[in-house]
Amino acid sequence: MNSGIPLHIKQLVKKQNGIQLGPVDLQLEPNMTYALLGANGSGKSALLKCCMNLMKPSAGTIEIYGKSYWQGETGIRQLIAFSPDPLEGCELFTLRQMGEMIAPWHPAWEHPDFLKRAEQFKIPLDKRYESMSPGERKKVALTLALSTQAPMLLLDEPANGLDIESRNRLKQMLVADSERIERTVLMTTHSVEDIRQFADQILLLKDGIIEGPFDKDALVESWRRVWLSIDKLPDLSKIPGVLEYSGSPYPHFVTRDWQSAMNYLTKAQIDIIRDQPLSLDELVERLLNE
Amino acid sequence: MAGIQLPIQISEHSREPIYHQIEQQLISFIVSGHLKPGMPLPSIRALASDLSCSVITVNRAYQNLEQRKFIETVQGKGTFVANIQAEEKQHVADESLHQAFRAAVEMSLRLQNDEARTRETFEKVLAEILKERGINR
Repeated sequence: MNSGIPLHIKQLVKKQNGIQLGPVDLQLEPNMTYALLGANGSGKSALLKCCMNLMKPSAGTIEIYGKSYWQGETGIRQLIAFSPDPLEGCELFTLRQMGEMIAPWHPAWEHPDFLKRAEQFKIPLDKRYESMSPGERKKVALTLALSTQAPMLLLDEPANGLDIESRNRLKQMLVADSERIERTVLMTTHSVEDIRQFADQILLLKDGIIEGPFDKDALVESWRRVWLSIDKLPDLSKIPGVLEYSGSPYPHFVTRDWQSAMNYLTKAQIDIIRDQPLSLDELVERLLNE
Repeated sequence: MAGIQLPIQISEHSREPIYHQIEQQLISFIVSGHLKPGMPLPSIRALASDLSCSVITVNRAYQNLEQRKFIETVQGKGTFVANIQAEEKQHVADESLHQAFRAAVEMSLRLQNDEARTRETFEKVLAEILKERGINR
């Protein structure tokens, strides 16, 4: 449908309140869901806002399916949609009114599809945004973004405040949409559960710089904790990828390169009592602090 | 609401890569006839979502299965169980039996049993099961 790279960021820099984001270079592949992780205040939301032209970068370029904002917004608006956290400035409107206002900007918008999403999320169409709960507001933002049918979706904390049922609906909608739309999703999150349930690849934002993308399953497979028999301890400096070691009472280490570590230990004839993947919480914390 | 549900179970704790676990389980359903030729498989995104793994992993499993002709993808329609040959079925069945015996023999040797003892145990188990099933030798 759309040829080219869904989102291509080149040498993007954004300076704000004495903090610098970037230079960021990033290229997303179609049909993938990326989780963008980073500490509070690391600039995740600023990066998404730059991609939506809601914030002007200090330097660098952003292309959405090969189109840039300086060439005019009209062509881009149908290619990318954003669910901000929080959605602001619509206090006096109802979801129905917001839908009516946005629809003309998005040629692929279908009213029945919009109504269906609102129904699946159980959001009242005629309730004013200002009197909605945080969870309902979140669902309004998601309904509007998803109804644009845009192939590139930017979701800022999409499941934050959603009840379990709504979160399941969101998951199902994204799966169902992917049967029709070649869709790429970039979402920020602080929730390990979101990473587990939604993400294919992980991006880290650390000190203004993006690391990754990393294949989520490959990370889980390669980062492991290994317990060793106490009888014969290896020379740790030689084990590939060892990050942390504890000698007693049960010698064990964490490696980021499990396969190579195993090969080394087998060759050195060192007994492994057990090896286990890290929990996703621990893995993410280690990735962010590495 | 729910799409095609397959009884696939993956374990992160296993040393077997996830794509390989998916592949092996699908092969066993196909070879055992629980999945029949022409039956639809979930889309890559749907299966990844059900298993909470990445589409990269499911894609890899599907590609390997397609290469081995267990499944086939029809452009615009989806992925289906292929019509596999009887020899291929036999081959896979033999292979898994072989692996199961290997694991048992390895365990026996780990327990310091010698060849005679290992063979004796096998004969004992075989006799036991034949008797349970009322099969006369």
